[in-house]
Amino acid sequence: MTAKLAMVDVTKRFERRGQAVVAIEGLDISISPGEFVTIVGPSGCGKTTLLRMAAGLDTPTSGDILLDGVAAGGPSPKRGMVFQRFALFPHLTVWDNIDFGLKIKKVAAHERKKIIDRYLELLKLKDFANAYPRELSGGMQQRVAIARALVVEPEILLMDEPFAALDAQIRISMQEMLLEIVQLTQITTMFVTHSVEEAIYLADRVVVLTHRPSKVAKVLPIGRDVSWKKLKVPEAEVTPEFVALKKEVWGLLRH
Amino acid sequence: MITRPLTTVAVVLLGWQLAWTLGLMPTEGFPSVLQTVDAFWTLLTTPFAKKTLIGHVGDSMRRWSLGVALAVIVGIAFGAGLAWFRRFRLLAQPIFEFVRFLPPLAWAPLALIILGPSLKAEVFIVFVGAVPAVIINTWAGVTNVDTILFDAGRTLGASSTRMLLTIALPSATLNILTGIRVAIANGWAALIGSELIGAQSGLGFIIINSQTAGRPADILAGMLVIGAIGLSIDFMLRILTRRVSHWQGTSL
Repeated sequence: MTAKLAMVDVTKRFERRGQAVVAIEGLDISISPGEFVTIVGPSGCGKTTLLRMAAGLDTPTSGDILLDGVAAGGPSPKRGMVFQRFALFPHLTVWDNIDFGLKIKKVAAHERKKIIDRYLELLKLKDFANAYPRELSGGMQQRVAIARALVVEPEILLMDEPFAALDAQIRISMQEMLLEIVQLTQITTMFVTHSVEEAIYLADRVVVLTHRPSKVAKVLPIGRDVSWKKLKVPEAEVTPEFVALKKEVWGLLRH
Repeated sequence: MITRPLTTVAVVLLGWQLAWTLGLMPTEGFPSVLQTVDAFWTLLTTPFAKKTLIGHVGDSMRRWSLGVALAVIVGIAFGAGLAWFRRFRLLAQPIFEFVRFLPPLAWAPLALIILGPSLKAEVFIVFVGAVPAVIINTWAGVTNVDTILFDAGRTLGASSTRMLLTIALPSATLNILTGIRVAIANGWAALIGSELIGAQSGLGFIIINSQTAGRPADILAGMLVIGAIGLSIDFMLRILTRRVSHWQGTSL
């Protein structure tokens, strides 16, 4: 089966104050259609750079990024992105933010309305269609950003520490909501985080990165059939299986 | 709120009239308050160079508003171009930096020769006085938009032009409004200056003509009208800006 997204032997170097820095070296990641892959790594290991390259917003120094086996090129609606800082358009209402990509796609007006209504419902934003981002809490803003990325039906959803700016309680409810949506839409997802618990809870597979220059330290398959997946976050996190996984990831990160 | 400035005005007028009555004015020709009010009334009721004061104010306002409107349109387009298109910036920035250091009135001789003492020449001078503030603020506003918004736009399939029009310019609204506010004041100053030089009507024309005719009371009346109009414009702009910042604060 062709991977939905493949990063093949990717290296990224850049200059910082005249010094050559190797952020990522010889990294391979392959994500199957419908799979949820989380990327976890030590802070400063170039996770954001990795995701920006996957989105086409940055180019690798060497190596290939393939979408359905074809060179992915520059950014496009095929690869939806959700940013840590939400990146909502401040001058547009919730509705218009979500509508932004649909308009570019030239979807007919009545069709757009149907799609937006569905996602507003799905992300519990129905009463806030006419609000501006500034009027919303962080969690709500990120829900708008997720809706905005999903309505254009991307091939893959790229998420860059999307819940890192939210407080713990909101974070948990966002994680549960995201899993529901992913199961409903069957979208392929690449999710970068520095939280080990989050990486394990959400993933079908966890990719653990090494210190800079980053490459893959280990891939941990988790799957959707594990028993604790049916539990809420706080209960899942204390099951022995979950704790064992956590220990293993922490061990890899300390290297 | 409004009583304090009114008190100030009353004190100044009273002091002026008192100084005049006591013969403390530096020159004999300096008119009294009453003479100035009388001159104002005469300007208002008797045509001066074919027009009453209202007509002259109308002419000034027309030149000023046309020049400022033109400056806003051209300034936003030019400023956005400088911020958005690297090639355009390389080409146009040196020209702009040079031109903006020419005071508006330095354009007057050329404008009067080419365009003649007409509406066009005055509007041009207002435009030249007003446009740099719009350009600079639009440029700064667009340049300072958080680049993450453009990243988001690109992953949603937006073209560069679409991002300029639907992300960059709207995000720069407050800066652009600040630019317009400065432009309006600069345009007013440039207008009066230009009317002193070549116009056949308008407030600047009244005061320069009254100088030639040796009527200091008319000069003062004209100056007071110019100041009062400037003050009211600024007052209206302050209300407008407050409304916009309020709107931005709560809903943007």
